[in-house]
Amino acid sequence: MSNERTGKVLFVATALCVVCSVLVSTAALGLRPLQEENAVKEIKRNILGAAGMLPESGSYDLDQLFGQMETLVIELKTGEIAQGIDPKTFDPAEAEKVAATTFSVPAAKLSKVGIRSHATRMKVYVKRSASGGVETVVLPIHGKGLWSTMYAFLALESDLRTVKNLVFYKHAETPGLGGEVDNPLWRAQWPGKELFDEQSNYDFKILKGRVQPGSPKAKHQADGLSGATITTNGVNGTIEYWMGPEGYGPFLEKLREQGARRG
Amino acid sequence: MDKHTKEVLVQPIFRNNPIALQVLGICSALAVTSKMAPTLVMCISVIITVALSNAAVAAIRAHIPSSIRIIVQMTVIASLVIVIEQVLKAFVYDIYKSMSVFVGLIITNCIVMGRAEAFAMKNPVGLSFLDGIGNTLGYSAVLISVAVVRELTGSGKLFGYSILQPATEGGWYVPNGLMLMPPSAFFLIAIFIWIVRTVYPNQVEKEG
Repeated sequence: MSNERTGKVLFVATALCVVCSVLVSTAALGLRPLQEENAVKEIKRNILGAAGMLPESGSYDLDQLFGQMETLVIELKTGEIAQGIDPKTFDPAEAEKVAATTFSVPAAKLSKVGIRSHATRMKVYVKRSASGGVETVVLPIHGKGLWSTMYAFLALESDLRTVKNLVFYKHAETPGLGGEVDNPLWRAQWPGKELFDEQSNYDFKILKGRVQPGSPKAKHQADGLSGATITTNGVNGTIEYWMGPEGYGPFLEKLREQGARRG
Repeated sequence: MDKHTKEVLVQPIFRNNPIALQVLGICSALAVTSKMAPTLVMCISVIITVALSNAAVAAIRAHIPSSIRIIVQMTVIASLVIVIEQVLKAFVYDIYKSMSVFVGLIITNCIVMGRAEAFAMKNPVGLSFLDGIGNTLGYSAVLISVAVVRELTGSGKLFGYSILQPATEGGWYVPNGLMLMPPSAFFLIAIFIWIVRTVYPNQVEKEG
């Protein structure tokens, strides 16, 4: 029997595909629980990293460290803590799929953040100081870059204006260009940047090019990514959106009031 | 082991090295060799991929229609690489992350398909399996020697343990940042090729 008959060619191709796909799906399904566990750990590590709570070196107990943070589910619209929801099981991505808890981004903001909708509730992470005041708050943000939705944790200092860290943990931007959002050198500029002015009005912009070090606005500006204008605009718009009234604006306002009352 | 079998296994390590002589697989040799740990994982992954893909292709070689043989080899290789990627993602997540796209790119590593097409299509399963191991050991020899030099001179460490105490941590050694950059691997591979060709002068290409 010749190998070159059409029937044989089709048979070999089909049989090979079936065998290979069974192999691949077995591996993918069988290993999924382990992979998901890794992904959860990775998220925790990113949150702690954004909050500056990860030791530089040596071993640590991830769950114990993470336990020092308070996980809250908040209603974005009011900034209040959502009642009757377990932060352990709440998943914003799932909530977005349910009509009652999905929020459509207003058309005017669409060009900034790029995503059409998100959940009405989000999970935020708060580290409190010994006296009970907010020491650090870590906010998950996401928005469109050039190719992909970029996911990040934005950590703010106790004044709720100053950036502690900005950590992008998931994106599919062009490696070497937009993909540099996760480059440690680019990330290093973020700590100390001020997103709001003294009156708590949003005042921040990522420039095309570099920030002039002497400029009076230097704290309210960040360097763009060269060769990645659309990614840079995406990051700029994403931060602005999530700090605004549809994002964490009301929640930050609540925290500021609490802080002011505390004196 | 008879002489021929042994040659299939040992020859590609130095005498017929895929990187030094055939200049295949340079891309990953530059990309993953700045530290030892990812380098070793890469080597092991490539060894497993090539050994198994060679064996699999050899096993069905009598039935592969030559009109679709390249795509058949590709499918076998791609499936193996996906499985390996899943395994790495499950068991050594940190290293998997640091290797990013290069695990997936094993598929495009010329050594893999080169061996399937050149050797496994004509030889029995066992011999093809050994040929895969031999060639990738040659690949690994280059990668590991490059990685040892790069991690040691670039950050003063091996496997993350300080060997040469860097000046920033109170030692005497000033790490050479260039060694952590991909281009340094070019110099090191060139030196490796130089040494191999000095030992085996018949590998030198004739001029003109």
